[in-house]
Amino acid sequence: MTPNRKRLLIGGIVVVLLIGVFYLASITSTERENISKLEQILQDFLAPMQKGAKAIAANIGNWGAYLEGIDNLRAENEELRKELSNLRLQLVQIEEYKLENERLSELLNVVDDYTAKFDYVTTSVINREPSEWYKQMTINGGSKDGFAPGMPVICAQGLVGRIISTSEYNSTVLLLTDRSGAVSAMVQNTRTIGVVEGDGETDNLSMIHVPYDAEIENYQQVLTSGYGGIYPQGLLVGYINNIDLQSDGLMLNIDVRSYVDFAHLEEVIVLMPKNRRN
Amino acid sequence: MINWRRWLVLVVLYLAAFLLQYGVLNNLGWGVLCPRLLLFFPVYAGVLRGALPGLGHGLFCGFLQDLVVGRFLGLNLLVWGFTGFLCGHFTKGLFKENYLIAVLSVFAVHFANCLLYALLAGLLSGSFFSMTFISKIILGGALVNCFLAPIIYVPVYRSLLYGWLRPLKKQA
Repeated sequence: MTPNRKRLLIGGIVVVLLIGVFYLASITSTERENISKLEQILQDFLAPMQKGAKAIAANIGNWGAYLEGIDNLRAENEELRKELSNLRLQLVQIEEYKLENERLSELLNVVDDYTAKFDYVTTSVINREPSEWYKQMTINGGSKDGFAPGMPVICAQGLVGRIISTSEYNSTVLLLTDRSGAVSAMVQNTRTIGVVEGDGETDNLSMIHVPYDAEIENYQQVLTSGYGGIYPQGLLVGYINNIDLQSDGLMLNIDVRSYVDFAHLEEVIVLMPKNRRN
Repeated sequence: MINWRRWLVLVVLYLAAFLLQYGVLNNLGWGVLCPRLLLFFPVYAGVLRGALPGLGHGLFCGFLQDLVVGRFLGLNLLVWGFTGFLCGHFTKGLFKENYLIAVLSVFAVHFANCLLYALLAGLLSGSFFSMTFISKIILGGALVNCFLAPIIYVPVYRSLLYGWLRPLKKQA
């Protein structure tokens, strides 16, 4: 083979490979029902080690806290004890309200949407920031536990995101703050509908597609609207922090803040549809 | 003849770097200041052994990241392979005993890596990252990785010349 032909052949192979890789990359973006076997094996193989490494990292963090001063911890402990006794009293009251609510709901024939449709599965976060480019995290539990792409993930402070891929023993969660993590939402008081999306770079959220005449105010709660079929209605997204009119004067720029501390998530809850689990 | 000891050392190093990066360092909340330990494999392979080893290590590191944390399967493979090859190609005639070569190579590869990835990911997803965000990742990573570069370069260089990482000489 002449050198020119050889060069042409190599060039041709490189171009075909490049096109192949680009094609593969474009069809595997963001949400996939099934990840490849190789990805599953590698992720499952690494998960226990990541868990162990995370435990070591947590211990290092604990030592740091210990060194910061035992006095601070004592004072904090005292404060927490007081808070706990207050909360105990409140808990009794809440229990009373809950029972009252159940009785009234029964009277009105209203069914609690979540408990009727979803099982709450609490799980731990294995890896909070696997990639600096995207807002996603890895959680313990995968297809073997019944987790599947599309399932909403929440925590005590509100909506966290949704599962985008699962291996046998762990799952990847796309956070609400990612650029692809948009959710249909509504303002609790006025029922104004919009879309809440993250910028993918900070933990800030913004609500878009809200007309200029919407009667909304700062500090109102924003909940999921239930449209779109991924998230059920009524999950807490955050609160309105600031409202501006867009330059065209037709739509509002709404700055929404989540209550969730995405950088320090330890445990989350996966909402698993009841019929799917059975 | 295959130098099994060298391969074993490489596997252990890869595993240690990967676990340290994605298991421990990413969980410390350092954000963009988190070191990219896998970056040193294609860079030093390129600098010390040439363009093809740089390409090989780049492809492997990229593929590993694609499988575990990648959003577009194959994109890291392409970007890391390409930058590993370029690193080997442009440092061909340079004096390898100079630690500054290690620092500059790490910076250049990290810079090219981030820029190329941001561009291609933007093209594939249809939504580009802002320049502020890209600069933050580039500068944060450059700061940490350039600091680590000479610390890691010395043992790797010595091991490649006299130690367990030394490749077998081809028999005439």
